[in-house]
Formats: sequence, structure tokens, C-alpha cells
Amino acid sequence: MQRSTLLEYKNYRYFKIASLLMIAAVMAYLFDQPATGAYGGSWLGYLFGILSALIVIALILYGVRKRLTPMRTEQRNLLDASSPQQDIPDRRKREANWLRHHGATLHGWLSAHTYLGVALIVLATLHTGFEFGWNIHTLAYALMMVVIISGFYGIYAYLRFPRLMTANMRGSDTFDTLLLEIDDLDKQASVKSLQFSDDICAIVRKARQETLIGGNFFRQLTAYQRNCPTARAVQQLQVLGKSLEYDQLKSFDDLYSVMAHKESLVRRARLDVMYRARLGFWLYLHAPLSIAFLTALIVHIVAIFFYW
Amino acid sequence: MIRCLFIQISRNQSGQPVRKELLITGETIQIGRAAGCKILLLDHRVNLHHAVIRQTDEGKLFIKAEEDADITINDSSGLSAELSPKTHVLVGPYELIAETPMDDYDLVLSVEMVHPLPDDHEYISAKQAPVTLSEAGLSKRKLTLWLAGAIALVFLILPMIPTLSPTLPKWAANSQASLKKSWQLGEMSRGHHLISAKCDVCHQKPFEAVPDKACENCHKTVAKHIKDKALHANVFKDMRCGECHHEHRGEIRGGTLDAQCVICHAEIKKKNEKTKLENIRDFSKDHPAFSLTFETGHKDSDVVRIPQSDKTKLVEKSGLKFSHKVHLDKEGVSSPEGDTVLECRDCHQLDAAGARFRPISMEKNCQQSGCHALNFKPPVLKRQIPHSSEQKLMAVLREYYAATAISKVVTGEKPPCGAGVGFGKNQLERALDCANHNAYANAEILFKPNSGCGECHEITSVADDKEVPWKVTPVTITSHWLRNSHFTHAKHSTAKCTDCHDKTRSEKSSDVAIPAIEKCRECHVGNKQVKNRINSGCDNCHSFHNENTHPSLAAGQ
Repeated sequence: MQRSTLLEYKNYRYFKIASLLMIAAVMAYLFDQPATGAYGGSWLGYLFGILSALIVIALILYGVRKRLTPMRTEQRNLLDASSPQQDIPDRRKREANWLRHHGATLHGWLSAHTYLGVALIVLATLHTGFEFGWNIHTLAYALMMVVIISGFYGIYAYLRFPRLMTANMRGSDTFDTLLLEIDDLDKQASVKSLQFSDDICAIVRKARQETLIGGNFFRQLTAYQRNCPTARAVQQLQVLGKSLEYDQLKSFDDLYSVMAHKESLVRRARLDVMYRARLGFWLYLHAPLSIAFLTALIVHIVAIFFYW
Repeated sequence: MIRCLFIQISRNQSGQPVRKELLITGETIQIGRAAGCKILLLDHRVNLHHAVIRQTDEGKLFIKAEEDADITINDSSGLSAELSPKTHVLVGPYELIAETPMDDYDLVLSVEMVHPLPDDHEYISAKQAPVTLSEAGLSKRKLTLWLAGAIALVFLILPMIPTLSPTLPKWAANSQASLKKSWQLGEMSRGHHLISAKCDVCHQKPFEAVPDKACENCHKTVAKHIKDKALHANVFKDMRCGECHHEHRGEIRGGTLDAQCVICHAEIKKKNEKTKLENIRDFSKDHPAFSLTFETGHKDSDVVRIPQSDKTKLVEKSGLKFSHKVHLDKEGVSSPEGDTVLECRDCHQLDAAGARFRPISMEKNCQQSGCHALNFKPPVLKRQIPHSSEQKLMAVLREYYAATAISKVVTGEKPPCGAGVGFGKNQLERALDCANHNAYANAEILFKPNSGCGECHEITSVADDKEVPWKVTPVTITSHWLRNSHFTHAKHSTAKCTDCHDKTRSEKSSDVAIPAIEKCRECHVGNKQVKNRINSGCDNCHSFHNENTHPSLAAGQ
């Protein structure tokens, strides 16, 4: 059976909880007519603020939980070392069961993390009472929104890219085997190119030496190398092949098919880099900004009560 | 003809050189990877025809690069060189070394592949560009530390320094005070802009709400809401000023919101059973009828409040007889200058604050144009009886007629007396009698119910006063009908007077023409916004701290 996505976890358990929370909050906001006008300091405003802060703690704890998991598994393994008769799969199963029974799988945490993040938009916005300004309080709110919006992208990435990555790798390949294959094709092409003119040899050499997979931030994200030497080599070989003599054609076809194969492998390797970059780059915003937001949130709370 | 001993060097598994010798002869010796080359170097880094070795007439040997090919001679690039012994030439990845000629060879040339292509995976990975974001130089940890650190420093630590260390130099304290502004929830209310950088004027202790004492340090004369101190304390208990006055939320009606009032006034009868006030939530919905304040005397306490719903009691007892209908007649009212059309503002003039009207006076409003002159009977040229108390009026009459009688005595004429007057012992006594008689006769005319003073005033007879046996009822014109509000006429100047005060048909001064609440509601609504209506909260008309009246009211007095 296919495992449910993080959005569908436990029959949408956290979706339901978050929805109820949001509906209740909006209803309370609409029905409450505080004497002071809606703002963070009315009793409902404080309630929204406290709830939002608790949700923020829960959301941050997901990050902690995610990073602690390997450590916990190691500790568990150490503890279990005293009972060596248990084989490893058994132990893992037991651990997974324990976590599942306690509702604490990372998958479950992520599902809760996602939906509570959405609920936080509503609760925190109602907490502001729609009063914004150039101050630390609105800065905290803005940081929170950037973190949550980057999280939306993260959900999109998690749901989309792993599937594309698997399809791109066609089941069995890995990035490293792709690189080895490419290198092997490079060698083959070099040998096959020796009998041809310097032009063809130079094209093949350039394709071997200057083709880049990956690169800086933008190259990784776009899977693009300007004037990719391999792609150009394939194009140029098509042209140069036309002027060859008949007895060279068979060898040339060999060379051409090697280069064309290489080009497809290079494209797949670049796509793999791209998918991994697109899967991961948002975390370079999400994680640091979440801590920046937490800091701003602490300043917000201190500032409010310092000058009550 | 060149005779060349070509020595091909390769390496065995232990790295030791293995030499393979070959004799090459020819006019020239081609080097490259083309099939026809005498020295065949099979590597894609070598051109088809890479270089050629030639012999000069003198027997010297030279190596020369072919067109488009690069060679390196003794570690520097060049195009040709003499192949003297120990000359190193790099052709692609191969190193050619001219060795010392021996036997009958013109040239001994060794060749070794010195730059083989690596084929291990680590090398392949190493020559790759970064393939992960962290390899490309991104770091979550660094960004986290920088962002969180900067926020904590700029928005928490620096703003708190003046509090933790009060002895900072002024410039440092000022710069940090401006950082502390980032803590403010919103713009300061207008009145407090002056102290917006001096947080501790109000926030006296960290983590403690602003005490009322801090407000009272400056606002020394602000009145309480309820005059009765015990009741005030009972109603407001430990409620702080700051609970209504939100000073960091810009201009929300001077820092307060109307709905604050409704907290108590929605169920005021529950809060205080003895109260005469009605429960009220909104001006549009349940504001009771206005109560009009009738002045019954000249002291502040001489007032009676009557709700407008009690219509039979809405009668003003001013002691005057005045017809607005006559004075506002469209044909005009007769005056010494002919018929004059009067407007409301001819008599009712706004006070300096534009809130209410200056008091009406006989001299300024009724006699200025020559109307309502108080003449002697019969009239005396250039003399008028003053508009004052009965006694003063009587005295003026007596003085005038006495003076007239005495002047007649002096000139030997008979004082102008009626029959049967003036039987005194001597001329002076008779003149005095005559004067008193004339004064009294004149006063009788003036104090008649419907002429002279009686034309405007209510007059009663006083039997036991033989000197001045008439009494003019004291005039009490109500100057402020809605004492618990601060209505401003100037703000309603776009409306005509008669839109609200229908006095054009009023014949009696007892008619009251203060508009009822329904009139206000034609334009004003309560807290809830309604299209084409003016949103009006409690404090549009009322003041919370209303023991002291609104400045506009004070100006009208």
C-alpha cells in the first residue's frame, strides 16, 4: 500500500485540528467587540498571542525533533546492545511501533508542523488586530510570514521533486554512477576521436574538459551551463559529419552516438543536481529565518511587558 | 636523411621505466596522431599533425610546431627549437627528450606519456563543480547566527542599555532611545509626541504597567468621571488610566475608544441601582431622549432637568414676553428706520468658541436700532429712561421731574402739575409734590401690563410698597440647554438655524425649540459605520472627565 503523504497523514488529523482552530479563532474575532478595538492587548488578543506562541514552540520543536532523531536511534541502539540476541530489523520495527503508538513519527510531526504553520497565519494575524507599523512587532510578524511561505514551497518541493528525481534516475542509477558513466563515455569518445580531424578532436576534448555539472547557486537551481560544450559538440558533430569520407562514417557514427549518450547523461545529472537544489534551497531561508523570527518573537514579548 | 633512434618509455606496475627502441629514418619526421606520422602519439590532446623534425644543411636538427598546434620547449612555449641534447619538448601529454647522440644516429629521442588522464572516481568528483548548495558556499548555521544575532543586538540589547546603565553619555542615550522606538506598537497619540523618546516618563518600572501616578504628574487637573468620590472608587475600583487611554495606537480619538464607555453604560442600572441614567449601547439604537436643562435662577444650582419626552413640561419660564414670529416676519418688523427684516443672527451671535451664543441684552439687541426706546411720557427730547431695576427707574423719573419743577420755580413759572396737585406750604414743597406726582404718573404708564416695560416683561403689583408698587418678574433665559454635551454650533454652520430650531411661528417666549435626538440622527449614527451618515461615538458629544466642562462651554459663559 502506498504510504499516505504528509498532508493526508492519519486521515487528515492535523488538517482537521488546524481547521477547527482557525474557524474558532475567526468566529471569536468576529463576535468579540472589545471596548478598545481589536488589538493584541485585548483579552482575546492575548489569547491569540499565547496560542500563537505555543504553536511557534511546537513548530520549532519539529526542527529539534528532526535533528535529534539520529541521536535518539543511536542511544536506543546503545541501550539495546545489552540484548544482542535481537536482530536489527526487529529492533527497528519495535522502535517504529513505539513511535507510532506515541504518535511521534517524524512523518506525523511534519504533518502537524505543516497544518499548525497554516493555522499560525490566521492566529497571529488576528493577534495583530491588523495593526502594523515599522517596529519589532511587525518585523516579527513579517519574518514569521516569510518562514511560513517558504514552508509552503517546502511542501510543494517535498511532494513534487522526489518523484521527479526517481523518474530521472530511472530506478537504479545514482548521481555517482552517472558521473562514472559520463567519464567512461568521455574516454571512449577521446579514443574514438583520435582518427578524426583536429576540429573534431578539439570539440570532443573541450566537451570532456569543460562540461560542468552543478556550479554556483543559480547554476544548480537552473541546471544550465551557457554554451554547454557537450551539447555544442553534438550539434557541431552533426555538421562536421557531413563532410567526412565514406570509409570514416561508421567510426564517426560510433563517436557521435557516444557523445549523444553523454549529452543525455549530462542532462540527467544536471537535473538531479537541480532537483536536489530545488528540494533544499528553501531550507536555507526557512531554518535561519525561523530562528531569526524566534529571536524577534522573544524581543516582541520582552518589549511588550518591559514597557507594559 | 635523418636517422633517429626513437625510444618509447612506458612504466611497469612497479613504476619502473620500460624502454622500447625503434629506428626511424626520413627527410623529415612527422609527429602526431595521423596514420602517416613517423612518431605516432595516440592521444586526443595531440593534433593529427602536431610537429615536425627537420635537418638543416649544416646538419642541425630542429623541431617545429605545425599550424594550430602548441608545443612547450624547455618549460616555455615556443614554435621551434634546435634539438640539442637535453632539450625537453612537450607535445600534448607526451614529453620528448633529445638525448646525447650515439653511434651513427643523428638524433636519439625518448618519448614518455607524462600527463596520463586519471580515471579514479575521486578525481572525477574533485574536478566537478559544486553539486550541493552547501558545497556552493551556503550555510544555514552562519545565516542563522548573523540574523538572530543582529536582531537581538539591534532590537533587544542596545535599546535596553540606557535602562541597565543610566549614566550613558547623552549622545549614546539618544541614539539608543531612537532604537527603542522600534518597541513602540504604533504612533504616539498626538498629545504625547513631545515625550515619545522619553519612555520612562510613563513607564516608570520595567515589567510594571504604567501607574496612574505617572499620568497625574502632568495631568494634574483632570476631573474624575463621577463627582461622588466613594461612588467613583466603587465603580472604577483599580482601573488604570491606561486601560482606556492607548497612547501607542496613533489617533484613535485621542487615545480612547467609545466602546470603553459602553462597558459600564450598557448595563449601568446593574452597576448602580440608584442611577437615573438609562442603559445605552449606541447613539443610533438606544440613546434616550435628551434632557433639557432649564435655568430657574442665576445660581449654578438653580436648574431643572426635564427629558424631551415629557413634552407638557417643556415650558421655559423666562419672565419675558417675546414673539419670534413677530420679529422674524418676512414682511419685516417696524422700526424707526421703517420695516426691517430680521434674521436669527441679528440677535443670536456665536460666542468666541463658536459653541453657543452670547447672552441677549436689551441695550445691544433691542435698543440698538432705536426700537424699544424707553421714553418719558410725554417724550423728552434726547432723554430716555434707563433699562434697569424698578427702583433705579423710579429714582431717575423723580430726579428728572424734580429738576424740571425746581427750574420752573426759579424762573417764577408754575410747575407742570395736574389739578389738585401742589398744595404744599411753600413753592418748593409744592414743586416736589408736583415732581413726585409726575414721576408716579409716568411710572404707572411704564409698568402697565401691555405697554412700556410690560410690553416685554411680566409685571406684578406690590401693594405694600408705596414708593415702587410694581415688580418686574426676574428674567432667566436658559443659556445652555444640553449641559452634558459639548455641542458646537460653529461645526454645524452649513445648516440653517431653522433646520433645527423652528421658531418662525413661535409667538410665546415659553416655547422651547431645542431639536430632539431624532433630528441629530438624520445625520449622525453611532459606532457602526452607515453609508452617507456621520460615525459618532460617545465622546463626540460627551466628556468622560466631565466634572470640568469642555473648554468650549467655558468660553460661552
